[in-house]
Amino acid sequence: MSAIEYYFSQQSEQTMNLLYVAIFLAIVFVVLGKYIDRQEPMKRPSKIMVVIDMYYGFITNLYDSIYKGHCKKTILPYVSMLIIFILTMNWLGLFTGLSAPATDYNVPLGLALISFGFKYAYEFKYVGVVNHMKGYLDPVAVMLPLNLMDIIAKPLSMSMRLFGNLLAGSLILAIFYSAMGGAQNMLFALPVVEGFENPIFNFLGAIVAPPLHFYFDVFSGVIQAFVFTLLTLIFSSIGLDFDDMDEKAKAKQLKEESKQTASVS
Amino acid sequence: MEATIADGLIAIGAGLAVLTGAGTGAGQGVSASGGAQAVGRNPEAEGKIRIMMIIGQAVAESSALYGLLIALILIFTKMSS
Repeated sequence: MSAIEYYFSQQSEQTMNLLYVAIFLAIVFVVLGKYIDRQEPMKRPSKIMVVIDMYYGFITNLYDSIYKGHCKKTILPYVSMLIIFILTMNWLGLFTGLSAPATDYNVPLGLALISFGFKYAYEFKYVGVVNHMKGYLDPVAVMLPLNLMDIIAKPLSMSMRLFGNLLAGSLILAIFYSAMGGAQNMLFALPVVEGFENPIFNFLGAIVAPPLHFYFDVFSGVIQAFVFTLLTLIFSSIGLDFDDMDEKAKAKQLKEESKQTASVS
Repeated sequence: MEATIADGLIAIGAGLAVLTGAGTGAGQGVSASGGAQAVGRNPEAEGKIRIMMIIGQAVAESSALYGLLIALILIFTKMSS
């Protein structure tokens, strides 16, 4: 078996669904990008454009409240994509009937690892590797094992939150549907065939389930997408000192200006 | 397949694991009461308070989810029947 064959033999149903979501979103965003390019700024904006503007305002407000305008080119595109991506993943089961990709633990774990990649990249760049390593001895050297455990515990808790919510929702709905199938069989005294314990047309479940779908898919999906994005922003900014970064940027600017004036005179 | 004593003990363990929900329930109740008080004191900020409260509850929920996950793992991977 070649490596590629092995890779595809290990794919679960959920990771394939993740691929569908990625392809779908890629198509949507290419089309939307072309659409935004064609807009004329002096005319009245269309309805789609207003929605896009609102989303951009919302995500920039969220980013500004935590990052204060720093690292805009790297973190803002990731975060604005992440919230749509997780939302589409969570709503996939509702609209298509495929199982939600986040019910496979690999998917949330991968997302959490990307988020923490941002954290360590920023800390190495703006705080420095030596200062970052010194941070593990903070406040006293005895805390080292706890600080090292923190490296694993934070991405674990972040991914487990998404995974657990989605898994719990899908399991509760599956149990509920099978219970409604049994209730339907009992109510109408249908004969139970071996191997077909659940009725093929489960109309009792279809009548009673929509509020549950509303809570577990729509509401929980939005909340979890938002919380995951917010935690990404908070965790990746936790080691950065923005006042210090501001001062450094100002000092750099002053140096360049003085250099320019010196070269002019 | 025969159900063994180990299966029964695993089921009891799974039931105990889900008891983590008690603490989460208390915590979410505290945050909801704080949200209600905040709205009573400052009704104009209702939207912001609601978002803040829901985020706090979603973060507090994770301990209950760990218990649920442990229970599910126990039931689906350790039970012989």
